[in-house]
Amino acid sequence: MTTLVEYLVIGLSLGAIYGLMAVPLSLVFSTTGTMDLAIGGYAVAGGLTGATVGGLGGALAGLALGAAAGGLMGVVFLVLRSRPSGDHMGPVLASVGLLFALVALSQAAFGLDPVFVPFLEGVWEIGPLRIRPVSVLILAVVLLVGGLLVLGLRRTPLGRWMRACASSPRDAELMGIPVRLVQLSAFVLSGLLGALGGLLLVASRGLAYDAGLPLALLGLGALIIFGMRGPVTAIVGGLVLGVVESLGAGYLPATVVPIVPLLFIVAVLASGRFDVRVGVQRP
Amino acid sequence: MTRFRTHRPVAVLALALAVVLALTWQSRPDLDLVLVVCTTGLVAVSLGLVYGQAGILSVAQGAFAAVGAYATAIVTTQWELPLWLGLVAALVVPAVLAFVLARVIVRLSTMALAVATLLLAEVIGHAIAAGGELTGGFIGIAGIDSWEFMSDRAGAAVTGAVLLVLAVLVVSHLVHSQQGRALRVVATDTTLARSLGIDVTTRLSVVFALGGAIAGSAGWLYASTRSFLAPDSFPVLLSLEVVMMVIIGGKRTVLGPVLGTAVLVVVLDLVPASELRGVFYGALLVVALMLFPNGVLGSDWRSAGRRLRRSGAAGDDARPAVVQERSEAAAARTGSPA
Repeated sequence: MTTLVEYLVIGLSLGAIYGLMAVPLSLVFSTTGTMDLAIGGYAVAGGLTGATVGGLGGALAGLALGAAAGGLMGVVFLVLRSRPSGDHMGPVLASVGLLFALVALSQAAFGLDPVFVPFLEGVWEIGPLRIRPVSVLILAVVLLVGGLLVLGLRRTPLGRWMRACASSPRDAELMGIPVRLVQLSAFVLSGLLGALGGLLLVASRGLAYDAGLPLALLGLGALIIFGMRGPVTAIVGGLVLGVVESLGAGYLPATVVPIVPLLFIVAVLASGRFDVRVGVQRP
Repeated sequence: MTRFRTHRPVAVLALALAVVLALTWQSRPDLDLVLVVCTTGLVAVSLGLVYGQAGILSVAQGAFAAVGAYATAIVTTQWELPLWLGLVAALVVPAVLAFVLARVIVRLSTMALAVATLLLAEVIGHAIAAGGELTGGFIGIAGIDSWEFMSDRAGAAVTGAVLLVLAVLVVSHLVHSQQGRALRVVATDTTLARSLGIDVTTRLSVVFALGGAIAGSAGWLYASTRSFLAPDSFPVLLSLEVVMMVIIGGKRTVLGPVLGTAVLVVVLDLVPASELRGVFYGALLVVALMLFPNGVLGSDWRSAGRRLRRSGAAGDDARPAVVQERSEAAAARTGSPA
């Protein structure tokens, strides 16, 4: 029973990071109609930069790098969208290209070994339970970010603009909303949150350059499990995925473990209930 | 006319490969590079068929190649059956696997399909690594038998070139046939295709199976020319790289995938630092998407030239996006992939 609870806590803190990947995916998808799979690249590049520079300055440098990379993706997106021909998958493929580039740059700059900078060491012992404080910290950070984001989307002008772009880019344009600027800021925010996820990974379980693609895929999986309805379902989806992975790691044979979350996502996709249609919206 | 359109890409490719082989005949490393282009090119041609023609963005073609390679190795080396059975297995096993998978995934939208196939490719990779005695696990299978003529580099490169030309011949025939036209209707407008009485799911499944067989032939080529096979031989990255090659070359064209493969393989061979390959891939893809949204061979060079000669006037670009899109869709529906 206690092991089950411990697995649950580990799974929740892991899932919170998947949720943190899924939130920006959802944000970018609703404002631009495309999937920014470079999110895993922002996490890897931002997290490893932060760990290498070290300290609070390192964290800020990592976040800045993530934001800059997100901005670059935004510019690429705007250029691709301004071209008349080309299919809807163009920006998605470009984001995969950026993911490749960021992962390769991180490998060249920071090497092959995983980087782990322990933060809030020690364990809390609550009765028979042993819980790492950093797991709780991650959960708290992600819930805080999610809450702030929901508030921001509801209450601030930028949030209102984003929701307008999400419901109809054309009408938003007609109302005088700078749609391109809003889309660009969604990408920058995506880079920022991705880098934050990378920093949290570095502080909790270590991060290597090759985590980019799996992080992007698991974030996407987290986003679609409960349908693509916004930040809240994205975080909940991430938590569910993390718990599935953690319980799988705890109770299933080692050879099956890596494919459990993958098959879970494939099953959700194949059920066809939550389909991902890219490129529906267009300003 | 039709016959000319069908055979022109095949003739161009055969001629180009003959020239390249003649130029590289003396040098071992160059022949190795030709073999890599042919092996990867076969995977790219299979993706060009399923994505460019049928609209199935599959990120599992590398995994089908792996299945083909392992099928060959298991049949000829683990079970010690005749060599030709290895070739048959490399074609049939991935095709059957693709046909079964297609039933589940073809009705998904492009994005969902890409993700689902990528995840399935990962699952296949894990399954191969966990295959125990049969697949050799992480260590792989060594000493794979093959025919005598493929044992030296020149013979291997010639075999690869012949296989690639055959694959392009099959795809070119399909594209310019009645079946190919029906396929483009399915890829462009599923509802229209259904209303015309086209059995969408079956047709897409068959094409996906054919793509699986072509990818499997790449696996056969790899297994019988390297004589060694491990899970790392076909990483998931290969499937993604092939997507980029097809996009850069021109997904709707018959020869685009081959051109994209040749350019990327040769350019990356010239890049000194191997860890920077990813940067080049990413940058090339982004630049290519911006310059040639339909790929290098898919771009309309003639009208681009006309536009340049008229120079200055914004011309075609000033047309609203919707009109261009519609005309593009119409072109795709009736049109002629060169």
